[in-house]
Amino acid sequence: MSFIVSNLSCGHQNVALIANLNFKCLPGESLILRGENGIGKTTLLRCLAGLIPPLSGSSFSNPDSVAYIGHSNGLKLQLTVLENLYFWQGIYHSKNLEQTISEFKLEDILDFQVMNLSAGQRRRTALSRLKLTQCPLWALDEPLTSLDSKNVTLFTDILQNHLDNSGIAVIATHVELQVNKKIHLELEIFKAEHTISTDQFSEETTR
Amino acid sequence: MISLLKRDLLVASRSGGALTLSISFFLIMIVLVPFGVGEDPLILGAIATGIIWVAALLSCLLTLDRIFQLDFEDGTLELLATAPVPIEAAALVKALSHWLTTGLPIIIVSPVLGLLLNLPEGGMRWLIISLTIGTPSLSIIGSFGAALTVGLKRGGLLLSLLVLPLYIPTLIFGAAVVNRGLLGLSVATPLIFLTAVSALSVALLPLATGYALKINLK
Amino acid sequence: MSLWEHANPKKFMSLSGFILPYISTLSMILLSWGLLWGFFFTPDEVRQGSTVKIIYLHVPTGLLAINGWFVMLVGSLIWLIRRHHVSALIAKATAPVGLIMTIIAILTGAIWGQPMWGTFWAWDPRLTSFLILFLFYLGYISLWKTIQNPEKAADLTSLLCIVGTVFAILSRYAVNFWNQGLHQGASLSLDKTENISNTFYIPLLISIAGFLTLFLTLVLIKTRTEIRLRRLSNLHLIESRS
Repeated sequence: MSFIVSNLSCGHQNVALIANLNFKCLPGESLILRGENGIGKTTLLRCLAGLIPPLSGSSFSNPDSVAYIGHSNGLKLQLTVLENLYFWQGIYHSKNLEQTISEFKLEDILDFQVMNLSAGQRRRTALSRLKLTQCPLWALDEPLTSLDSKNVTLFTDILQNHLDNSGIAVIATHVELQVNKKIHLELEIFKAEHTISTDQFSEETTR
Repeated sequence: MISLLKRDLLVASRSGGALTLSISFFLIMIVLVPFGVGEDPLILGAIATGIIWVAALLSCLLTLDRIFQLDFEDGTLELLATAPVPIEAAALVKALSHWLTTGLPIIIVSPVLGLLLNLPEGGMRWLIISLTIGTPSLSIIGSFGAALTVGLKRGGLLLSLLVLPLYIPTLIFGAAVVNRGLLGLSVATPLIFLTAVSALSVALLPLATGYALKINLK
Repeated sequence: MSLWEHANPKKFMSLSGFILPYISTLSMILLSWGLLWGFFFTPDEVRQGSTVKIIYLHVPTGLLAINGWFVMLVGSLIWLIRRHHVSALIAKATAPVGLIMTIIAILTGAIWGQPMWGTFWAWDPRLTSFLILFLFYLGYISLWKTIQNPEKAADLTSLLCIVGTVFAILSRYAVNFWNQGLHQGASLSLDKTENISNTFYIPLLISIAGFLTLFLTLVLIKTRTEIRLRRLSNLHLIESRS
């Protein structure tokens, strides 16, 4: 299942950040989003995940098959790692809980409350949810924050594994990821020049 | 969905006092009334129903902004929105967990408070019935208000302003059930309307709540 | 030219700018005509004396208080379905006008009731319903003010308006029930408009027309202001992004 985006425009408050974006990702490929801060990487990823509707155009993917991770970890601090994972397992009806735990090397911290973990351990736990979702498409926003080099390697291997199993990943990252078949997408090219939107106010003011 | 319920209850039980917050507030409110009104049992008896119902409303209000705010802040709300679970169902489950931690304790404790305020004979039964039917709608209506104001820094006061007028029908019919019941009058009309308001809220408001959440997550 | 064409802000501004002087003049004429006639040139009513003349203020503002909410409801529905910004702004603009109408309706209702009740307030079903409506208006306006993002604000306030309408109707029935419930009946209600004879009726109609045109004038003015404010903030937004 490939991932196709056609003529996509997205932004905030009807002011487009990215316009007329077109790309196609085949299974096994990963798309690395590049561009300066504020260009719209986060907005684009949230749009792909289904959190923000596009201003125009479309992405041909079922939002239910997209696993998203943003800047925050999305973990309940008062619960243990295992309890957090059980919750996601219940939501996604995952069958790979044990496999996820061993791949992400979470065995040692399973019974600790998240509030007692370090930033790196929290991030690693947060990333493990991706595997539990069993979704083919991963939309990752700065996944490697707080990870040390050992864990960066760990995650890269898992990511490669995902890609090798016909997965696709769209990633915004400042750290270079060592995966095969990666495509770089310079978002600067797609920066919206004018406010391309359906907002009649913009029409009036830009005329 | 059960996972969500279990998780929320687990979080609530670990949040140091969240479970006991509304019930404590409920108790304190009731205890304050005689100090303001005098301990004459006749007067207390006459206003007991109203006081208990109003205190129930306000106690529910207290924990409403927690329903979505905490999840919004730690990022779990948006992850829930991307999950293959309809957000409307999640909203309903959240309201349910609010009811279990707020409404249900209130129902259980209400007979004791009825005693404190000298609720007349025969009123106890109706108090419990009216609270049982009415408090779920308080949680659902409240969850709608909470969804509107999630993400606002000091949304608590605005939440109260939005939600309390919406509580008025439930309050009127709920209190009427008790007041008529203890006079031996027919409670059919207020009871039917109370049930109707609760049923309507449960059926329709989760849709509006889900929509409001999606808007706030954009 | 279809009605939706006027959903375009520019067209709305030009059309409303054109109508505005006419409708505001008309409202001033109708209002003064109706109120002067009603207050000074009609005889005092047999039972209620001269305070009944307050209906020339109370009835129109009462009608418009409810009508205002209805306009907000329609505006909210159109916004949610067709995303026309102008309709969201009409709803936003109508709210304060409706709020003022409600306040005047409540105050005049209290003044009207005072000789009958001996006090300035009684929990009469009509007055109580207006009080609840007042709270609903307050909540709606506060929500608009609190949310920064204009599009989010439009969405959320529209939802509130729709849900609020359902509960406002429920409250109306609840209040009627509540009032005849325990307290001994005979609510000295203000619903006496059926018994008004012709001498009162015509000036009343004119007053209603006057207030209606006043309502329209105020809503148009406020909507135009809102459109201008929105354009300004849009310009700021574009400037900051480039």
